[in-house]
Amino acid sequence: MNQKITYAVIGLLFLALGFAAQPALAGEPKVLKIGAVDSLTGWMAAGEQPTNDGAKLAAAWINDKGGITIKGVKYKIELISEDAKSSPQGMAAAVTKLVEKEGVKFIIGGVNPVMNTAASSITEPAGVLRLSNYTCATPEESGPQFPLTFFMNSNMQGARPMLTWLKKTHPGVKKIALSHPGDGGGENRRKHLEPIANELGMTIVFSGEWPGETMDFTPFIKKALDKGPDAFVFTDAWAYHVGSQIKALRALGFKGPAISTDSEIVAEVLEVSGPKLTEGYAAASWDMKSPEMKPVFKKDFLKYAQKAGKSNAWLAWGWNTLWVLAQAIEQAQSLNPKVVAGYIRKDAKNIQTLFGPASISGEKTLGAKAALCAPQAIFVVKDGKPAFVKWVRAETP
Amino acid sequence: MATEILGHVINVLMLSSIYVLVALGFALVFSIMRIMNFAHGAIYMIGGFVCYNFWVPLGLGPWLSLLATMIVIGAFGLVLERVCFRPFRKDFEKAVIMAIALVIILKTGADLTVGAHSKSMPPIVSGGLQVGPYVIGADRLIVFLIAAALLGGMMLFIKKTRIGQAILAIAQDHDGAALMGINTDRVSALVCALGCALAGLAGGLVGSVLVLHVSIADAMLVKIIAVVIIAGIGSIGGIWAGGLAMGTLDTLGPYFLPNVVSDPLSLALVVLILVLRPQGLFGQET
Repeated sequence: MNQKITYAVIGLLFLALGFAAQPALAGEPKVLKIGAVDSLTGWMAAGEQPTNDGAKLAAAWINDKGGITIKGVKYKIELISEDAKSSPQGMAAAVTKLVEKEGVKFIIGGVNPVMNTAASSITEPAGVLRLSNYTCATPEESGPQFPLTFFMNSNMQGARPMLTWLKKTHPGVKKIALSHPGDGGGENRRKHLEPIANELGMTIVFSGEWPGETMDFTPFIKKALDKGPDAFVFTDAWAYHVGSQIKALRALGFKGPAISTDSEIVAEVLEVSGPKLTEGYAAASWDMKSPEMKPVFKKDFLKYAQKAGKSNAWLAWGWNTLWVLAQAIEQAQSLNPKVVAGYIRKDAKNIQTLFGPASISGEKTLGAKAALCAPQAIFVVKDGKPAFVKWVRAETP
Repeated sequence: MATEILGHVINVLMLSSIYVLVALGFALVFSIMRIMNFAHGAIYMIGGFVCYNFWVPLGLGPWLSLLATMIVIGAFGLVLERVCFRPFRKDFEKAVIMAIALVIILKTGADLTVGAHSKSMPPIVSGGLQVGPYVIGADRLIVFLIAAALLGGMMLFIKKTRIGQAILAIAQDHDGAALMGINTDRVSALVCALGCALAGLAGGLVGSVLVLHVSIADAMLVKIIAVVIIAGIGSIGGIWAGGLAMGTLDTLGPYFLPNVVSDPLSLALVVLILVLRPQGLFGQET
């Protein structure tokens, strides 16, 4: 009998301790694991390492603000980075680890068709929502068959605003040359750009691809210039490709305007081709030093970047991608990827980015509403420096 | 038409001379040490960034920067030979593994330090030569002249000096040269330093006329292997012809053919040479 009473007392004590601990536990935020698959090594690391760093900064910022709340429960974000190693095999291995070992339901990352396809081959069957950093708008990457895959930026989003700006500032431009990277997507880009160009009274007289490892762009540029374009349009490239081509353009005596239709950081291009040759070049993107950036960019993003001792412009990409996903989860009030995906498709306009409110589009280009776009700022090189022109609405058709 | 051809010729000469500068070091190291230095492309890339730092942040200007780069990268070559290559000179497999490890170390190091940043230096000489409706960049011409002058000097050094003769002797028969009293270690170290210095110089020149980025290392490695295969392994003189062949293909191919197929076509030529003449155009059959 005494033994029974002793057990009962011990049981009650544990129960009481449990109840006593409950409020404290309720106050402790839970952890929401989000995977980040970026190439931290290999040839893509140069561009993706800063993106990954940016996502880490955003995670710290969100957590410092108290995390996100879903149905009354606070969650802190735990960002788990995996190296995609600049290869589809590396991407597949990284995503598999995140899904199977870490049990994540949300992933950010991916930048080109091969990597996006490799990631989606695992995330979609596993029911994991992935917000890629970029799409080249190729048919393999997206479409109705990928209901849980979204893209934060696309190479098409600047096409209309930049071609419109080109026509407005250089009304004499009638013939344009398109320069695409040699990823096999040149024709696809031309297909989407041509109607916009024609609508604005411009015709495409040259559309060519260059291999990523091109050292000297002179022959390629010369071939394009032989077609007599009035303006040169870079559809998708890293800054060093654009800068190299600008060098070749000017060396061959081309004096017409040159623009990018993807998000090119004008300051980075300037570093490559120098102030004199780059004068007049324009792109729709953002600038780390411009006073025209939005308050959240200047106050929060730059503060966190500075604290971490980082200044690369592509930090903004990673920050945006994670922040947008975190907002989507919180606004959908669900940890169910399908519910969050539905929310993004329906209410993306409620989601903020570093550059203003997001929008969703992509039916024509991607075959699905999968492209989340943020407003972009047109910058043009004036007196050797990036000069702000205006904010424009970026949209993937 | 004539001015257009002249423009192509200048571009061919510029690119070819860069290829030859880098390939010569690669070929010399192989001839003397029997080591495939796959890190040579990475050394060229690092040379470019070293030159950039002398030239732009430190403000040394083009000539001093190029010279300082050759000294720094040459010294790096000395260390490389002593620490990484000499211990494996008689073990081809281990030497290959060492070279591959070096590529990874150097490129990862560059990824971590310069990362996404592309750099470019101002032209050594600005302006262009107006020939008819075309402008021929004076910077391209000067790059070719610098490279040609150095390569000419290098060939004279090899052909006319005692050390040069020692290099040739070792390339022909390492053990025989050692028996003749040639200090093979010292010559190997010198060759490695010279090869690296030339690669560093090429990196600096490319940074001025084209662009610097971590990825240029791999692109150049493919080119120099192609140049050496066309020339024939062990043929120093053939490097000129190999470089000119690759430079011509890489300049005229993208102009006359769809750009994305020109690279595979030039590599197909390399495969063809390997099949029809495995010893290369100027190599000796063994």
